Amino acid sequence: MDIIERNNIHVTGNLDAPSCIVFNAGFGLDQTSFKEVIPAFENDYQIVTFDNVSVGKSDSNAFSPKRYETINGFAADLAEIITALELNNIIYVGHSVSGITGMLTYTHYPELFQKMVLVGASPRYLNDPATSYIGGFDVPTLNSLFEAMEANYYAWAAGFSKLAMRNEDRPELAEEFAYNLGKIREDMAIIIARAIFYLDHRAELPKLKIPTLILQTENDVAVPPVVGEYIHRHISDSRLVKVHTEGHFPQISAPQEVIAAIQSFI
Amino acid sequence: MPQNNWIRKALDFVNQTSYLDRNNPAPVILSNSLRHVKQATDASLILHIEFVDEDTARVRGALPESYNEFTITSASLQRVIKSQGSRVVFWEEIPEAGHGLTNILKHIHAVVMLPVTTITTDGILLIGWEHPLKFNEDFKVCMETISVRLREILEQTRQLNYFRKIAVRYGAILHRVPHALVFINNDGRSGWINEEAAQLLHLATPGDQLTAVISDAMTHLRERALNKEEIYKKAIEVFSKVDVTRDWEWHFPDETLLVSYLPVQMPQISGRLWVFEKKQPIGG
Repeated sequence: MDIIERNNIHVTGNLDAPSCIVFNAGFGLDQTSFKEVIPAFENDYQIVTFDNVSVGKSDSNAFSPKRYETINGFAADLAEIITALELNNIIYVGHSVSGITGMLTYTHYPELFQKMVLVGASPRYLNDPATSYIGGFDVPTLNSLFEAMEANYYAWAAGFSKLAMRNEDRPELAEEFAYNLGKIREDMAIIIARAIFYLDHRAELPKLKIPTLILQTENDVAVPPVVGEYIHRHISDSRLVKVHTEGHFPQISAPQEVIAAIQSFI
Repeated sequence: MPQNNWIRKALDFVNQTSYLDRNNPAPVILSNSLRHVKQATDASLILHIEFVDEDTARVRGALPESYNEFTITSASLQRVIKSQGSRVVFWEEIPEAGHGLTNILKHIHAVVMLPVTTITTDGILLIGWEHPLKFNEDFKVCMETISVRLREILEQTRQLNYFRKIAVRYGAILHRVPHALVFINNDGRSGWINEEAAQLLHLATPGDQLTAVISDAMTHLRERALNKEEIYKKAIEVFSKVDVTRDWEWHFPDETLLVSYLPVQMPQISGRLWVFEKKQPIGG
């Protein structure tokens, strides 16, 4: 299988730079979601962007329900991209679930990573009363979410986009996200959403031993502020920065703030 | 360096894994088996890899544990295993390419891959050593023995899971039946009651019960009946036959129970099934 084609990989920026920044977008978004952020780093870094299987211009024939029934499938893809491109000194910017896939990949290839940026990431979305962990979702809520996805995916996508994007004064942002969600094949979207919403990688957080920046927005339907604080507490060399924008997609709704936070971190 | 007695190690492995603790969940049984493999082989890396589709494999158990649930693109690995006719693969030196495991095996010098296919799963056990190792005949016998035993363990675990699921399913169904169900095995030791029966017999928990406990509770129930003498006489008659008895009325101050007595005779199990159903008032 051709990984470049599978993941629609692009390597741009300063190809002679000693470090690279790998941008990896979360569920429902493709590499263009970082388009407002990337130019700020193009002169000083190699820039690697790609589309996870199921979104953008990735090869949908590469989708396998078994491979992607857990997010380890996406972590395996990321590892293959990194090794195929022979990347090292990686500054990894992972949005949402892709922050966690980056963390999983790091645990097996720690020598290749230099710094980690987690944008709106969550190690577990489901509350865990046994450990008093608040992830933001309980089982009935998730059951309703999947019922809604299965009953009418496109209606769900439209509703979820508004909730997740916020920024009601700029409705075009939610509309674009809804459009992107709508382009994902319904069966793929449901399998991936299950993999995401039922993941639990809290145990991996303390294994992250590189400087890590955690970006947390306000009023994020997927990741409440306590999750960002939880990640911060469990990664020893981490910095928590609050981005002053609403919703789950600060790279889209507040790119300048994201750029400033990353620049001061790296 | 002391000579490895591989035959002895194989026997030790078989002995250590001969007892399957049925109370343990399947992942724990497999994890314990991997520890015994590590103990027997002194390997640095042990991965139980399951092929989940033609291009993907997932690590179901691992030492070190950090590889648990690791996902591997496995098309080339699956080709290697098939090309060997699903026999054990011995690599004293790891081929440079063609297996898709380069990253996983970057610190490994020697590898053995044992096919561990069951009825429902297809996979291998990968054992890797960080130091060079010569594979003599005894070593190969040891690996073949471990391979056979692991297949047995996986199959036993699969069956255990299957029967657990069946037990859970039928338990859930029988506990929801609105009648009180009491089953007494003919072995004279064990029995089973559903939730409704536990309430009727004033027993704390449904499920498996000692026959003596159920018999005592049934006696107490009968003693509370208004027609206990009649029940007692009919019971002698019923027990002397092997026929089904239905619509046997047990009267209590506040209700009447319709009791069925059904002898169960099957090759795997024999016993007596009692069904207690509340008699609905006429017109009710």
